[in-house]
Amino acid sequence: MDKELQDLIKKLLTEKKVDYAIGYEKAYDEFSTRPAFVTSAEDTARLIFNKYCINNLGLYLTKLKKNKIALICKGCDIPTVRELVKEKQFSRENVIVIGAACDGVLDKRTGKQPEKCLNCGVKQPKGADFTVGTAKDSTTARNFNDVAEFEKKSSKEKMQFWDRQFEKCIRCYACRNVCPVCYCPDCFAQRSMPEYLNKNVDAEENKMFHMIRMQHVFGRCTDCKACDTACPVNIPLTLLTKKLAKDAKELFNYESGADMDARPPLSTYDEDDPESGIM
Amino acid sequence: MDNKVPQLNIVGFLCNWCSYAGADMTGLGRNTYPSNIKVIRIPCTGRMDPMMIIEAFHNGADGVLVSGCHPGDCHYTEGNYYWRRRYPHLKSLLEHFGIDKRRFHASWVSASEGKKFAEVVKKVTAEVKDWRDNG
Amino acid sequence: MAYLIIKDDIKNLLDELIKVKAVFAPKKDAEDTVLFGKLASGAEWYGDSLLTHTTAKDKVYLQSETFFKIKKDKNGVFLEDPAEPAETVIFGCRPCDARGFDIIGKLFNWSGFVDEYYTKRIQKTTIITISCEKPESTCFCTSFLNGSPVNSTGSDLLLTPLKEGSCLAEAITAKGEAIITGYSRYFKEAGAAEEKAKIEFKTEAEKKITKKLDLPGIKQKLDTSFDSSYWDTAHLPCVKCGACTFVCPTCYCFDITEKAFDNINSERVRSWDTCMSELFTRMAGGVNPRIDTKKRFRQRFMHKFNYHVDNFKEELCTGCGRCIKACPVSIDIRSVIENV
Repeated sequence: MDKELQDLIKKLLTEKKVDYAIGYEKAYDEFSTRPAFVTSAEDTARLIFNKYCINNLGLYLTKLKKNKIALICKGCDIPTVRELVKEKQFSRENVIVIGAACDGVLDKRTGKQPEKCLNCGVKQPKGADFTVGTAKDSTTARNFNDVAEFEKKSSKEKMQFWDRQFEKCIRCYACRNVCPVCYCPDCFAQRSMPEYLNKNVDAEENKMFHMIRMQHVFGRCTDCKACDTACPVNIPLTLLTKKLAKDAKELFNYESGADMDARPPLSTYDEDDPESGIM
Repeated sequence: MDNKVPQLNIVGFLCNWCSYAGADMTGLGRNTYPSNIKVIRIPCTGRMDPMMIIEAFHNGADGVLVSGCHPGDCHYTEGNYYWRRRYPHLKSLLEHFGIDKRRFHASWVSASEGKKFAEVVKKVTAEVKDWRDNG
Repeated sequence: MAYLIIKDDIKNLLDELIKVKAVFAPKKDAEDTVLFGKLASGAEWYGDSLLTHTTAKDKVYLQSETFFKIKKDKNGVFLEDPAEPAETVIFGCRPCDARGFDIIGKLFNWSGFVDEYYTKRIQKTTIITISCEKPESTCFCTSFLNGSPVNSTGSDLLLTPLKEGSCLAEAITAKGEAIITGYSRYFKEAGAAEEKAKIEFKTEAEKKITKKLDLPGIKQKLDTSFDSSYWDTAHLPCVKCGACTFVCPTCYCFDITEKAFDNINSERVRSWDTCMSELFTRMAGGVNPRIDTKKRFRQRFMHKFNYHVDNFKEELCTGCGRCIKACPVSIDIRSVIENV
């Protein structure tokens, strides 16, 4: 599969169809990979694809806006590309999506497959320009059981749970910086006049940061879990991103990155929207 | 104003065109409501940045009420329709973070509905008090 | 003079220490995160992991340290000093973490200036280090002068686990000595055989660290590579979060901000900052000399392995490898500086 991938990219680079090919290469040991930026055909030999390729490379699209890019995507990363194109952050003509068939990735922290891979319907990528390899989708469909389970808790228990999580948070902003849809050049967390978020790090400030970030990515977050896997202290952010996906589905029947024509839920309205308990 | 519940802070974001005038009307009509609510005037509920609601809770508000014109009556034609979509999502997200659903409310109050505004504030205060006392 | 302590007695020792001091040791939580946390009992200590996810640095050099509070009462406005730090024990550090305290300590006492907040805390802190039995693929402490899995720099008491279910305890400073004399019933004198076993332990552990950097050579290369085109491509994968710097035992950059509650009540706080953040170099008026992501990326390596060596004759790195593990895109500090 690596060979097939390398040949395809070699071809794209020699034909000058792309300036950059973004894929994966081996990192510090055999259990880790890191994003690789390849510009010449000779350099493609370092590109690989295996079960440790957990990063969502769609992240780099907004950073290399002016270039033509070939992007290696797992099935679950393709919605990111669509979402960014939809938000006019990148033009679809400038990106060649190479779908890599994936049998599920391993979280380098736990060595186990994350939940998204166990119930994955896009192991064989859908909507890519080229596809490499074949894979079989999971037998179980994507579900929101874990979020629904968490929702059953009382608000006091939820508060305690998140307080414990955000006590750990060191506000390194890894979650924000690896998020493909968190591309604002001037994030609210960095605004100093007026200041929204104090530099002082404590559980309350951290919680406010995460609440506002989650609210900002609602209807745009494709639930790719990049933030969850990036967290150096293992805060289960997937519980939040999945909640966003669940709400978008249940309240507005919307799925980010799925339908290119659907309007994002918060940027449109319908005169017949339900009143949702407004007095 | 009377029936104030001690030590309970509710932030009211009222739209300039309907609810703020409605709150005025409450006083003119000699209707009473708990003075726990601290009113902040906003241009339109469509302008209501969710960040400010989150910040209000962060800074210690026990409850938040956002009130605007009835659907179809918006001064800017469509602002409150956007709010009507934002509200259920925000409420659900805040609840997920552990902010009880009794603490965050929205209402439609027109400029002539002074009586309704008093009712809304009474109801919101009772709910927030219920949350504080019974957890 | 070296002593022996039985491994099972360590928990009892911790229980005794908790009675008189605040004891911080690695603790594991429901998400498998191992962090230095305040112990309520010795049984809470989790000793099976090599490195905690973040360092013990934040127990001495707080992530947010309040310098003073501004308050008002009926006599007028006044300043309130923070509470005096409590007597603290950091238990279960690794030699690389402990060496970090030594490096930061030099910085906070540089050329006659004494940072009282840091110094006050470190004076009241006893650091008990445990030698590393099983270094991982990300470890590279042996590249540094004296760096090794049994290095004692920065520690007060060094425990080296030996094969027979006991640990060799060596007091490095008077604070470490005080622990041994104060709780002498747990310690018995060690003989020459145990000292020999420690040397064996050292060779065994060092064998597992395969990566060795040629630091003088790297320094030479970095001296001339400020404008190198290498940085143009090397920085591309980096997402410019601050994970690497916040989990680093030696990164010390900070920012001082005011936290205002109203017109009078406020606090002056020193918080960690990171050179990876755009805000770090943004000046009043909006000028930012390091707005370019490439420059920020370069700064981190240049500071650690070039500028700091010029000033202190040692690298601003202990080889713990936490930044490699914490990096969301697995950037390896070793290969970045080697490939310059």
